[in-house]
Amino acid sequence: MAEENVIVTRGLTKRFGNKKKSIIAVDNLDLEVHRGEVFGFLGPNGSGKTTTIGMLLGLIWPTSGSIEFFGDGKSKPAKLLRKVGVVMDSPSFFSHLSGLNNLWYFAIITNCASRGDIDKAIEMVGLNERGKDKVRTYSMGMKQRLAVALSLMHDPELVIMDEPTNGLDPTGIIEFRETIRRLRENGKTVFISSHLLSEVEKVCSHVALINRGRILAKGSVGELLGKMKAIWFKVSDADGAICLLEGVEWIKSVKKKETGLVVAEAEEERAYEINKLLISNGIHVNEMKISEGSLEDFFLATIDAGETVK
Amino acid sequence: MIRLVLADLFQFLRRWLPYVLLLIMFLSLVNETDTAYYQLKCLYNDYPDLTYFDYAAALEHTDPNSLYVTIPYSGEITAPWLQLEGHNGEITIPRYTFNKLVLPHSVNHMFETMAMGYDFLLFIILAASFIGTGYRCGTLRQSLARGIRRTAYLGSKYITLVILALLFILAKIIFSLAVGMITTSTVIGGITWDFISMDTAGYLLSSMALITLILMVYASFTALFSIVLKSSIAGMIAGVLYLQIEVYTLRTFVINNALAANSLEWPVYTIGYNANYLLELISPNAIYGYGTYLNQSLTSATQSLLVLVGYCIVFIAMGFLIFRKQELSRE
Repeated sequence: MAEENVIVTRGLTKRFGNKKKSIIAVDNLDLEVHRGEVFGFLGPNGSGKTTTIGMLLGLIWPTSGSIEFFGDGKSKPAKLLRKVGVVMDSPSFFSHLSGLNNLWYFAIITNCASRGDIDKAIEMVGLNERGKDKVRTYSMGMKQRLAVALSLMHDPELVIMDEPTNGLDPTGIIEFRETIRRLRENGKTVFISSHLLSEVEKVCSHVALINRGRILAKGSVGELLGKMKAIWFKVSDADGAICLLEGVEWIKSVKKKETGLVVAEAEEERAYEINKLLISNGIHVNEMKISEGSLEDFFLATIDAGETVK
Repeated sequence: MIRLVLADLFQFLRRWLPYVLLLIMFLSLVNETDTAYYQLKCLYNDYPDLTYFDYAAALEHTDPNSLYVTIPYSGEITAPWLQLEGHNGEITIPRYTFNKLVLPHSVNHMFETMAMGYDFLLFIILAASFIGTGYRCGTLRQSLARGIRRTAYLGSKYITLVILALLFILAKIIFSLAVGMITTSTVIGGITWDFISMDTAGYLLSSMALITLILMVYASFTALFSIVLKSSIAGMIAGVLYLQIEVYTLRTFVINNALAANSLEWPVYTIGYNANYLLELISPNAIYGYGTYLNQSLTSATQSLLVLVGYCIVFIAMGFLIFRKQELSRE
């Protein structure tokens, strides 16, 4: 059975400025997020993540390209956004209202959450004791939790989160992970933009890497990490090994870690070739280990590769 | 749309700003009343036998357009300077001396004080703050991201502003009635309620409608700048600056009668000129506005209404036009 698309963008482009001097924030972005996925949208600062989310939410007008939610290209975007929960890049609340009253305000305007839903949402994020306090007295982490409550109180089909772990303490991050897990179990689709790669790796099923407005890689986390492995070599001459391996085309990156320790990022099957190459060049290999690559390694390697290409 | 308006009233009326502005408005009215009461006390000190009823009787024989009332007086005179200079058996006092304090004229006078522009100023601050909050708090982005259409969002803001303007005027009427009840009892020794009639209700409702229109012209101007510059403060500065420049320019032209002498027509198309023309209709003999000085031949009630409605439509339409195309990235 074909996977149901929840978000599809085709050729999505955003250009800021005029014709003479313009900056491309998002360049020809093709993205597909399927139902039930927890999709991580990763990229360094200024890579175009927030602009993309702004376009998805109708806050920023695309220069060209199209956006489709829930496979429905006919309905007005505003109508479809009713089925979306959003956690903004910065918590957006009336500071003079209490947390509960802020949720109540948005419940009134959208007419899609009852008092019971609000109470349930505020309890879920652990703010029930502070719910009646003014938002101006909240810490950043509490505001972020309130934003999560706001995004979930109307039981949305899709949740879009822009840097949702900003300002959260370790406990908050664990709770956030738990929330995502629950959403995933309930069949919700989650789209997360984050720079906390280890967090994304723990909760996401799929990721897309974006840099300078362009997608550098996308796919399931297992698929992307499976391609590259970190191969560790304890060698007699680390500098010589680095010089040698840097010239090999199929090795994505080489780094010197501690004295005599070199880590090369390459396909697992080619580890023996590296070993052979080192020995044939007079570099003794004392130890070799293959470890799972992390999303962070993959991210850095992909970004580096992207920079080199450019 | 109704839900948006209700939600906006729900959140805005929980802020301290509207109440601070109302308090300032009330205090300025109390200050006005206190000054009028002090002036009346001085008059009573000079003419101890003078009563409100002497004034009321004299008013019946006074030209309705006259700013002064001449009261026959043959009682005791205590002011030393009057004893020295002699007394001709008459007292000429400004018409508002009693009217400021006695119902129903005190309500009429309350509308007149609006011509001074303080209430417009307060409403400009309120409108700028109301429109700018969405940008400042980020709740505008949050609302649109939740599927609220831009036209519905801004439309509800303007409707809420009309409701706030009506509440603003209603609060002032109720407060001025309360103050009027106290001062009437003090001046006359009791209150007669015979002024309560359909005519009075009609007068109050039509006055509320006209002042709401005037407030909405200034509010929509202010809102436009709050939208363009995405800021409450920018809207406030633009609105207050415009009001002050207009007041200064019009006072210069109108009070110096330059308007009539040089047949300058451009002030007739300003907001302030038409606002004051309508206030003159609500409160004839206005002492603070330009009413007395306005060249009545240069405009009419219909023209003034049309000019103000025209401004309102243009400002609101521009607001919609800009808001619909506006990029709402994180500032």
